[in-house]
Amino acid sequence: MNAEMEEFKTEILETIDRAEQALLEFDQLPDNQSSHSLYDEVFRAYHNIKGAAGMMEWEELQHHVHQLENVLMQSKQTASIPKHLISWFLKGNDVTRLIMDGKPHQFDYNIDTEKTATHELREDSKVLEKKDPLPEEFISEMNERFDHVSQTLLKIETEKGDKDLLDSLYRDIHTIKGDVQLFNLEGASLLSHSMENTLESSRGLDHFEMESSHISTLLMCVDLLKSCVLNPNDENVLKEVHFMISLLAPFTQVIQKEKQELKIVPQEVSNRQIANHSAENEKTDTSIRVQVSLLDKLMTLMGEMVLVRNQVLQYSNKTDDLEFLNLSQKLDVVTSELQEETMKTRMQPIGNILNKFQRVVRDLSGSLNKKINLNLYGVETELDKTLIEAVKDPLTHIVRNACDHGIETPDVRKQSNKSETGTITIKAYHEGGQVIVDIIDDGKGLNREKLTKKAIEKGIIDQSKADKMSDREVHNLIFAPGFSTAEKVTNVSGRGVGMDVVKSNIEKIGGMVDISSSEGNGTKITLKIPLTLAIVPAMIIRSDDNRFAIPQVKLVELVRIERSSIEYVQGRPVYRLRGNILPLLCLKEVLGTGKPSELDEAINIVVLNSDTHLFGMVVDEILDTADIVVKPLARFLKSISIYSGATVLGDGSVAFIMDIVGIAQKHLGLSSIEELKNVTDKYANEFDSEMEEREFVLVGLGSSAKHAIPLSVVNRMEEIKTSSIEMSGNQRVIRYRGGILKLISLNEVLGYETCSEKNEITQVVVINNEDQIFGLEVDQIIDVLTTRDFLDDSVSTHDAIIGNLVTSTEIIVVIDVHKINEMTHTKKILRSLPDLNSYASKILFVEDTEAIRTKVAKGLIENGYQVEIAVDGVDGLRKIAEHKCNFDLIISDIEMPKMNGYDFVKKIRSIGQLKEIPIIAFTTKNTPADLQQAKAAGFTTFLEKNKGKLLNLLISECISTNKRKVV
Amino acid sequence: MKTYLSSKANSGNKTKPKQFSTFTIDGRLYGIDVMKVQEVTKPLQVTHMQTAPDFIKGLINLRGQIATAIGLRELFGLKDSSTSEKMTVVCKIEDVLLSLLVDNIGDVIEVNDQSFEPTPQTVSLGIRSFMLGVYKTDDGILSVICMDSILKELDKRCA
Repeated sequence: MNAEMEEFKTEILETIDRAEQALLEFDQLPDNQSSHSLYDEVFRAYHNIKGAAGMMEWEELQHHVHQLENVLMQSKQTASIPKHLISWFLKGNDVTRLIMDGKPHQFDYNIDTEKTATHELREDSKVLEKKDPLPEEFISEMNERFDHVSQTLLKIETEKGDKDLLDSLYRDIHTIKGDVQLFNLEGASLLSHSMENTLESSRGLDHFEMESSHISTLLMCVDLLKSCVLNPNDENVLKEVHFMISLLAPFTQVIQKEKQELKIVPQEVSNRQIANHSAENEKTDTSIRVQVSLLDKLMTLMGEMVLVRNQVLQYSNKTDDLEFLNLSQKLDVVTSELQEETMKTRMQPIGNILNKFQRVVRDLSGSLNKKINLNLYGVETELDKTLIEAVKDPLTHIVRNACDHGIETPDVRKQSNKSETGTITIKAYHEGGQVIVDIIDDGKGLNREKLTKKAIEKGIIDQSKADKMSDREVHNLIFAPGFSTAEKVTNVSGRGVGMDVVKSNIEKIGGMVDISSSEGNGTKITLKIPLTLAIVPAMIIRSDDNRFAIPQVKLVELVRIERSSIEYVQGRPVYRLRGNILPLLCLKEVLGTGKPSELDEAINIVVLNSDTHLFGMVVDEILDTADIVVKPLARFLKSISIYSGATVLGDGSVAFIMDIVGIAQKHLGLSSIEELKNVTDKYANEFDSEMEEREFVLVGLGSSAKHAIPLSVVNRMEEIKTSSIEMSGNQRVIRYRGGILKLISLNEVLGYETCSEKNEITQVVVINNEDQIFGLEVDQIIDVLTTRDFLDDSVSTHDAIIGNLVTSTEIIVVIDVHKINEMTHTKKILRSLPDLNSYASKILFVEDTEAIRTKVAKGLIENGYQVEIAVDGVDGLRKIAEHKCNFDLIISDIEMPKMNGYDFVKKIRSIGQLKEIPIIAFTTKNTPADLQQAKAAGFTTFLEKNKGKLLNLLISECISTNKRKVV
Repeated sequence: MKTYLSSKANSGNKTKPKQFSTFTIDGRLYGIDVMKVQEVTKPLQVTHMQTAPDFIKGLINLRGQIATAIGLRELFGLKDSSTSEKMTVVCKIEDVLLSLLVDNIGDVIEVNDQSFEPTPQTVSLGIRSFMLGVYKTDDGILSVICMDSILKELDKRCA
């Protein structure tokens, strides 16, 4: 059902696009000029959507499109759409899309249609009003006749050119016409009359072949006649009649034309013409819809085949068997052709997205008060479907930018002797195995001064560098992160999504962006996009006995140098490549296979480009280039970030594809941090390698040493106004979240000096220790420390101090929070505070689907619960451990990765403290068997996901029942 | 599980026998549900994966498909890590192709539920977590490996 729905949606969207295209073409015509073909296109589109929506029982959509169709019907006679209506229809299309996405929408169906309705229509409705139900006998008789007509039509299709059949058909329809006129059935009589007309023209031909499309149309007419007779008062049917008549019209014309020609020229010609015509019509039928997954599979198999071919070819080099050589040659040729054709199956014309820009530009020029024309060239240029999707957003951004920043307003253009109407041209074409898309505008172009000034302001470059930069470099500044040239941020562009995103998105798919501009004359942005992602040109290199593939897009050049020309900066090897320092990485170091051998005098370096960082990688040997088929790695290997995939080489062995960006991140950008971490790790290990990682909040007190509070007992950190501290007896308290929070000054307890001058703001660490909540006043909250360092309790000067953390740089005093609370005498527990966390029930919510997780969690928080979320069973258990089982309720999904809900609950029930905790299964499973299984596993109760609204009710019920039980 | 089995045995109805593809590591007999096993092959050329954990032996080319070779010895934490693996068992699980390195391949054997017992508690946790239980067979006691737990463990250890 879902797949069906998916298909339906794509189809509808395509249809809307077609309607939109036609509407925009209408817009280009002078006002009120008529175009039957365009009108029909739009009409057909709406009509089809209406029908499809009806089939899918999607009433909302059906109703909406029906309204659109109704309005369109009224201009049927003129076959033109007034300008103001075009905008209305375009809005209507948008609403259609909103409906499709299930988004909220609003649309005013009442539109002044300038009384373009035909008088014919009004007459119809007058007649229709008076209609009485038709006698039953008449209906059944008509139905019989209709069936007969259908049969005859089908016979004509199979037994071509039988004149008797045609005559019988003609007679039947003529009779029908007479009958329906007798009963005053306007629609049916109009329709049957048209049918008669088309047939009339084909009678009198000795030998006549009816096209199958003509027959289908006639069959549809028959169906429509049926509904005319069944629902004589239905206005919709009448409208369909008009539409159907318009469908019949071309056939009548064709036939008449042929008849004329037939009188002069021999039969053959007409046959050919018919053939031509039907070929044209069949064009639409020769394409079929195929699941993308099937195409993907085909592609993979194709990849395999190419590999086998390669192996055969390699083997054939070793043999003298002529026949085998011959065959392998043939295999080679066929495989190459097959590969090419298979690749084409995934190809789609780029026009699919480019055509959408007509609308974008039209809307934008309206809202920006500019006059802009969009010219498209090479819309038929094809590229991989996934790539088309990927370039859509960047392209949209560029086009919007061109409209907003590039093209000037009409008066400015006039002043600079340009035509008032600006032009944006998009050209798409193939070049060197890539698809090139040029977006050219004839606007104001880029201003060097403005760009450099802005870049200096943003700290991207400095003045001295700016002076040295070439124009080209300056233009490329607009791709720098955080750069936007618009002086004011409009709602059109400059909303934080800069050209840097365009660049990174295009580069993500292995493409390139370039810009050139001449001030006052315009800007040209060039996108270079690879044809496909599945097969990648790569360079094969060797390290020891292993071969690796490096994608060509990441490869800048290959360098072979003498070992002696390597220099060292702070112990790291570099090479001066044409005067610039190129940092070097050794592949062996990356792989962890030891140092490079010192024997070779010559060194091979591949110069790589990762996000504008150039670096060289020293490899043992550079082997060859090859087109490789990218295979994904098993999912658990993805965390090893230096490989992006694998491929099978010509000899059948597997080679890893290097993830250049991953390597750079691991070994260049973050190297300093890594090193630092290594050092501290090593240091920590010397003390106690078994020590678990713990977290502390570091606070400053009236002592020179830093103090640490275990993070596990810290609930929140607050800044409160000193003036808001009140006294309850001799206890300092503040109002906190609707309750009272006891404050303890750490300085007082530990006997340190209290800051003499009172600050306006007091820092408070709110502690939640064994359900007791209180605030610790501190002078300063410094940081959170994660450490494995050794806790030394040999020197403890105070009861409330556990010991000292000995880190590599200093000694930190760890505070015993539990003791502190005990020492401040009061045993009164703050449990009675109404809104504090002990009361706000704490819920653990385990769910693997992010959307549901966020939505439900938000709902729970809004209802005053404290919510911890976990992404699967394992994570859930971790969260339980972290929170020391301190939950009032657990909600868990059942189908989850790593550990499913059943196992999760079983684990929970095995924990003593959680034996009684209510656990709700929140799942899509809903059979009694599932319920049983859930109960057996230990779930308290069960809620289907589609009844999410009941969740809060269920929760409060569970929690209160449980509390009663505990009491 | 036990009660379920004994009640079945009492009723006298023979449950459908289960088939396991067997193999040995260090002379111990293991079995994998035959439906999970795609094929058994001689070791193919392995491309080693540097920087990966030791139980990931590398990738192999299985007629154009790429499978990840897993050293069960390392995964199970068996002390003796001599490389005596002579065969591989290829399993496909959740679209992941795994090639398990084992010492020897045994027959496909049929067992009845009656001969099933849960894994004894004394078995080290390193292996027990991968075991569904044991079957008493004529050739000895068969340890049944659960492929789902293997994949789960791989996900966990590599994360």
